[in-house]
Amino acid sequence: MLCQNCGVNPATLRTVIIAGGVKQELYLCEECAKKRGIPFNKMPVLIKLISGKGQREATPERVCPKCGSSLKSLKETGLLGCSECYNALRDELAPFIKRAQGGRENHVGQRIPPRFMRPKTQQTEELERMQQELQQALAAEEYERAAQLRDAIRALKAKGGEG
Amino acid sequence: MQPSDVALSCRIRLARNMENLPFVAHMSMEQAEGFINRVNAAINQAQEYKLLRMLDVGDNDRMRLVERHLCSRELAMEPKGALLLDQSETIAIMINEEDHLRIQCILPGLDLYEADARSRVVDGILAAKLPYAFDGQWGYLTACPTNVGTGMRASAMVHIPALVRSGSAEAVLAAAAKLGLAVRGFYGEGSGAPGDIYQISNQTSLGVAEEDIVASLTETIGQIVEQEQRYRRAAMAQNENAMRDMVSRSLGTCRYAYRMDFLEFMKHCSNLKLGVSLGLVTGLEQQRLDALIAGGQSASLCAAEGRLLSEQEENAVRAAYVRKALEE
Repeated sequence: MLCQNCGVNPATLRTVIIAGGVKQELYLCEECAKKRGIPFNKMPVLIKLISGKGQREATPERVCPKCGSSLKSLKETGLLGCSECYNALRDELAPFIKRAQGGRENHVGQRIPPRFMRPKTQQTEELERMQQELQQALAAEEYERAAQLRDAIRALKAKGGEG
Repeated sequence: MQPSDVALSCRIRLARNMENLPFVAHMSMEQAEGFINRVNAAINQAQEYKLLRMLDVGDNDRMRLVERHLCSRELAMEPKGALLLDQSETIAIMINEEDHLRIQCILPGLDLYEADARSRVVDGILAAKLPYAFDGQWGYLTACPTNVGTGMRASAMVHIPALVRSGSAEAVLAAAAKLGLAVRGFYGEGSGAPGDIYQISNQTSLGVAEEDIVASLTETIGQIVEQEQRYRRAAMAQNENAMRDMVSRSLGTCRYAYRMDFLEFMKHCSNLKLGVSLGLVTGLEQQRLDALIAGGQSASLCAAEGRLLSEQEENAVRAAYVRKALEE
């Protein structure tokens, strides 16, 4: 719904005015409401009414046990308080991060800190070698061999409980 | 006409944070100081870097670091912050900016691959000694959750006067924005583009490997460079006289003016760089013009004068500096 005053911005506020003894409901954008001298914080927020957000706010918000940051403080400052926040607020942060990163949700890339590198097992090395061979076979259009490799990779993954 | 006449410089920046240490906004001064010392001990045993604590650096010198793009405005204003700067001013590690660490490698021209390789070496040294915060799903964890993943920001400065003059710059930059790149003016977020110099960088840091960020930005910038070069050639072919006139007028103004504000200065520098690139100005090199641009910024002028300058004084000092630099 558009602001009934300017007709340009979406209406976010609802107010009631009484003019000449006639009660009228008016939907306004924030700017027009300010222009009319209606104090913003005293206005019932339309969005709150529709989404029932007002109710949800009554339930306590999840905070990081280590630094006390929350989604609310993130929205205010744009920043989290410590690395533990990512664990504590994982569910809340996931959609936020996904939106900011154009729909991407998972880190890719080989460059990870040494502490987080898992030593390669013989099996993963074998798997990597076969996957490389598979790419080569596909590039060389040796489809029969590619199919064999594909099946072997599947079997190995199943054995490792990864497939 | 060299590609480096268009792509002036490039930069890789890696954001890193520590486990078990609050992010910078939540850190005490003691924690901040302790962390600066830890980083310095981890990487600077051979004293290859100059350690500049923001509290110890004077106001004007901090602004000079900003003008030379070695340090962000935010770090310059951060009492908990410090900068580790190597002698060649290629590696600049910002400590306690928004993130605990922002490792930067800055190189002339468009060589993001090399900048990536060098920043990776520094990152490796620090990663071996400091407990980086890292998450299986989100990669390197950052103070602002929009920077997670690789924590990498790759960027390049491009000088595109011919595109700007032809009115095509907006379309070209909008296309870059559509590819998920951010376009900013000379001084980063919110600034205009004095001297027709723009900064182009990746926006997505999650779900794209470092190599792919570097490759796709290099490709897009390469295309912008080609387009700018094409427009420069076209402008020369269509009206060499007009180009010669514009460049010569700038040279004349620089040689004889007694007052010059920053925007006018950048405009003339832009024209002169274009003139050198097209062979319309002789006896001047791009490097000298780049040094001229660096020296003509406010804080550098104040530093050269040894005192703070009012705007009027600054404009007079700048004109004198330019006259001297371009003396016949």
